[in-house]
Amino acid sequence: MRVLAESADVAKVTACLSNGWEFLSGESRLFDRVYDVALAPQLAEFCYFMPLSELGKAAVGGVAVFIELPDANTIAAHMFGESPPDLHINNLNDACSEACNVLAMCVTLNLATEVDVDIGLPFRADSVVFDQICSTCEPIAIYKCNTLAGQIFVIAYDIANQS
Amino acid sequence: MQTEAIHLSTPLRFLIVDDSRAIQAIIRRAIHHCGYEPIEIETALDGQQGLDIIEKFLPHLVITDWHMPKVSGLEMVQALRQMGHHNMRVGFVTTEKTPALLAEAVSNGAMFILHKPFNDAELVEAVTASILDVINANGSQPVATPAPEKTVGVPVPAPAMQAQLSVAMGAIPFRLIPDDRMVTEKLTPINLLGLYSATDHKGVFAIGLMDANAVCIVGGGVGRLTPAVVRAAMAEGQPTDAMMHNAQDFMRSAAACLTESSVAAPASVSLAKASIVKNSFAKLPEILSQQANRSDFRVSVPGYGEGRIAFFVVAA
Repeated sequence: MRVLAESADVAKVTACLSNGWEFLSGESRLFDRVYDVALAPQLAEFCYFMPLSELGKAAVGGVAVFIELPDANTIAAHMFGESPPDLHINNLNDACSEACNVLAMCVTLNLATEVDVDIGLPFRADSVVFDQICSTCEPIAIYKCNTLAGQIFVIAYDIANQS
Repeated sequence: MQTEAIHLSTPLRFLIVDDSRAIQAIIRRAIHHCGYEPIEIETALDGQQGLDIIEKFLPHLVITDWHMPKVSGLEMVQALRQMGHHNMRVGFVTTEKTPALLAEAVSNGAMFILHKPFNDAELVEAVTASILDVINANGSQPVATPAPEKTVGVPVPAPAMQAQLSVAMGAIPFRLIPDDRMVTEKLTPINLLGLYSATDHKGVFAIGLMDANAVCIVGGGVGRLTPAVVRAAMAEGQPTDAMMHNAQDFMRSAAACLTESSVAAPASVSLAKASIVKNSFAKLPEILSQQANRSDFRVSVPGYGEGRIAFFVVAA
């Protein structure tokens, strides 16, 4: 049984994501809903995951944000007000974590669910963690944005086979 | 964004509490854009660190995230109230939108709740409104002293309305969004209409209009009513007598803003009459169709909701 389901108002989610990306990067970009699950990335240089749980209970899923290095540089430069060559890796991680916070909330706030969802803190998902996520969760909504440097993905997951 | 520095006799102290150094950097920039000098800014990565710093630093304003490791923003605010810092100004910058939680922040004295994503101007506006009383008490002196500019055709400048609402709402956080035009289709079934007179002007000088939601929000805010009471009145479209009374008082006090009007700049403006009108009132379409010499605002209070206020200078 699924606890989380995608919002019926896709336009509201994509508008929120675009607004969020502009806040993070200073760039105006459009997000689109992607319906081909095969297009979901297997990992990215910066993959952050915001876990979701039923209030006071077990995990129900989460939202992952996938960002490649050039876009990580873009948002870190914008947020810290520094040029990319001066950016420390910690600042890239910090900016991508905040990107996960802002973008994942756009999806989370618009999920269709009958439970009170508790939002966890974003954490970086390396290949091991991401494999665990993929083995226990299935994507319920994929959003994509084309940037000058590549693509940003935001994917909502529901923990499969919850009883 | 910053147009002039405001020199203060003592440093203005800010504490930024956020587990993201990136957001700390954004907030720090916005504080600098406010133009206050001198300022001191401290940062903390979670609520526990924030509490430790508060004890020694005694900030004039704490700007905090909500979701943080160890101690959340709300827990930090609750703790600092318990520690005796009942009047310390606190504002939230967060992605949290759960109404019950936001109401809890308001009840703990949050002066503003700004949702990410936001733009610098919104944060500057929130910070400025939150520390208005500190600035006024601090003997601020603008370094550059150009003659105050009055924007052409603006009966009520946004900063004047912001200040007036700050006085009325006290510690209740609100956002004032200028230039959101009031139109006939958005009127509520009943509305509060005020007629202003001015020295040296015959007849009606200006008209003020608050929709029922604004009456509930401002009237409820002045009365420090709970969000549930205000929302119930808004849902019914029927402000209570107390809300109506408070809203009329607010409309009366807003006359002071009209003396800052760039339209005619009268020496004295006063509210001559305030009355409830239905949205079918024949004069309303004519008033609302006025293109110039008007100031439109949307006021938003976390936990309460949103309402609309507009002022129209009608004197020739």
